[in-house]
Amino acid sequence: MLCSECGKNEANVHVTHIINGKKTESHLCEECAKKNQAILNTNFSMENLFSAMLNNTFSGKTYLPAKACSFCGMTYDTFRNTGKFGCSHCIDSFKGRLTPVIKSIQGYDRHTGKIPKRAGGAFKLQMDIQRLKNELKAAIEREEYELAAELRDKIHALEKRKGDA
Amino acid sequence: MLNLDNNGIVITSRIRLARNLKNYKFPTNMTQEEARSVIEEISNAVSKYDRGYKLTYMKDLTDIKKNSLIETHIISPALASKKDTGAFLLSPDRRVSIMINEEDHIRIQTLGDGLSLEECWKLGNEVDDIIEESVDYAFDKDLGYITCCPTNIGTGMRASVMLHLPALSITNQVDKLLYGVSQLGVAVRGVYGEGTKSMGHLYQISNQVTLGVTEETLIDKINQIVMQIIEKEKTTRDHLYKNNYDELEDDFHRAYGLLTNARKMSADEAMRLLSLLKLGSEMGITPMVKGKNIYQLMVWIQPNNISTIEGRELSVKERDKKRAEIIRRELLR
Repeated sequence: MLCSECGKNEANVHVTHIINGKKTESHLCEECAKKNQAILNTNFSMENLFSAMLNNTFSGKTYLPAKACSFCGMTYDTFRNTGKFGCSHCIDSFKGRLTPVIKSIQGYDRHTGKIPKRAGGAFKLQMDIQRLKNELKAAIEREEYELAAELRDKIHALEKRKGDA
Repeated sequence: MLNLDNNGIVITSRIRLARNLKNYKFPTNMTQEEARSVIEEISNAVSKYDRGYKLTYMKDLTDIKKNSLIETHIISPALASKKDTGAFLLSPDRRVSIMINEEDHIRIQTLGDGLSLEECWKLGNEVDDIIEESVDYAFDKDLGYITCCPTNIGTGMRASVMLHLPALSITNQVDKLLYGVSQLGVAVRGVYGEGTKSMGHLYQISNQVTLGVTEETLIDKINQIVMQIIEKEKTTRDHLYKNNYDELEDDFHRAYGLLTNARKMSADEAMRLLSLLKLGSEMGITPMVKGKNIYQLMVWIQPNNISTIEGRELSVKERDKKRAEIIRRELLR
């Protein structure tokens, strides 16, 4: 089949449009298809989906205009369009609105993984205590009381360290 | 007897950690001056511990060299596009690559053979600690490591495993299986070729979620899924061996015949035939290629790697001839 646009080359891009229930088909060669980038614009990258989600989540709701990020000057609108932060401080500037969106895409809104030694500090201690408490609860549920007693002592020791700090 | 080795199915494992510095704008947003300063800070932090790492600036590389580094998975396409601001540090054994000013300031990537995500994580974690001793990371107590794109926030970790699934592919089961797997919160894509189309039956599986789960749990999940896929691939190979031996033997030897005689070959054809030959070798049906690293050959014959071996840009025609020559030389050696 020849390209329906130029009529010269073999058509190898086939596009079906359905607009208001009316179906039209076009058969293009690669060159003509490239010229018509809109056809080939099927970009389903994670970033694009994310930015689409940001737009949907807030459509129809009225929010006070967010202040621009104090460090890099990025506005919330720019972030909403690109789906990318301008710097790490944007998180603080947009946090209130951000948390539900992050939760909807990641399924969670709280980090439980690695904590950097220097940036973490006292927070790491708190996380360690929380982790041990979860383990303690699980141990009690499994009726492993010896392990539970061990964990309880560890938690006490860490809490004492936290109090001293 | 069937000779099925896990290592034939799982090719490589990779861990990538995204990190950013607190006091700089993200690479999408920074000046060349700031970019230079970030490169300096990170490269100094690493060289304090290990002087063996080699720093390379994107601006010093030709397009062929950059693409060749992408084909060997040392750098990402996104880093290659940062021609004025990007750089990377590579360890002497090429297992650790630290990309600087890609989408994030730092992307630590560790590579290992076979199913080795734990080892890769251990190594990446160590490099991460070393860098953190000298720089201020962007970290939020609720959201974890802050990344430019919210889809990487939290652990900043992407754990991925490259799989060779020829038996599942030639029996048309791979799409269904990979669709099922993608329902479990992992991403699947072809390794070479565009989009989800795979060349040489090579697939990459990686975690989708980066927040709210520990690194160990994420790795554990990928491992479990990979083990199941390995089982399915093995069962299918077993089934083929028992029921379709004659057809397979013929297919594998035809592939060998073409690969050792053709005078020009496209990447598409070469990848398909090499994949068959690799399967034949692992099933003990093509003893003449026993002990040869077919996967390595699949990497070498990628377009830009051929041009790099040759030291100049080649036309498609020249490349197809050179590709056939390299394959003949390696298989008949």
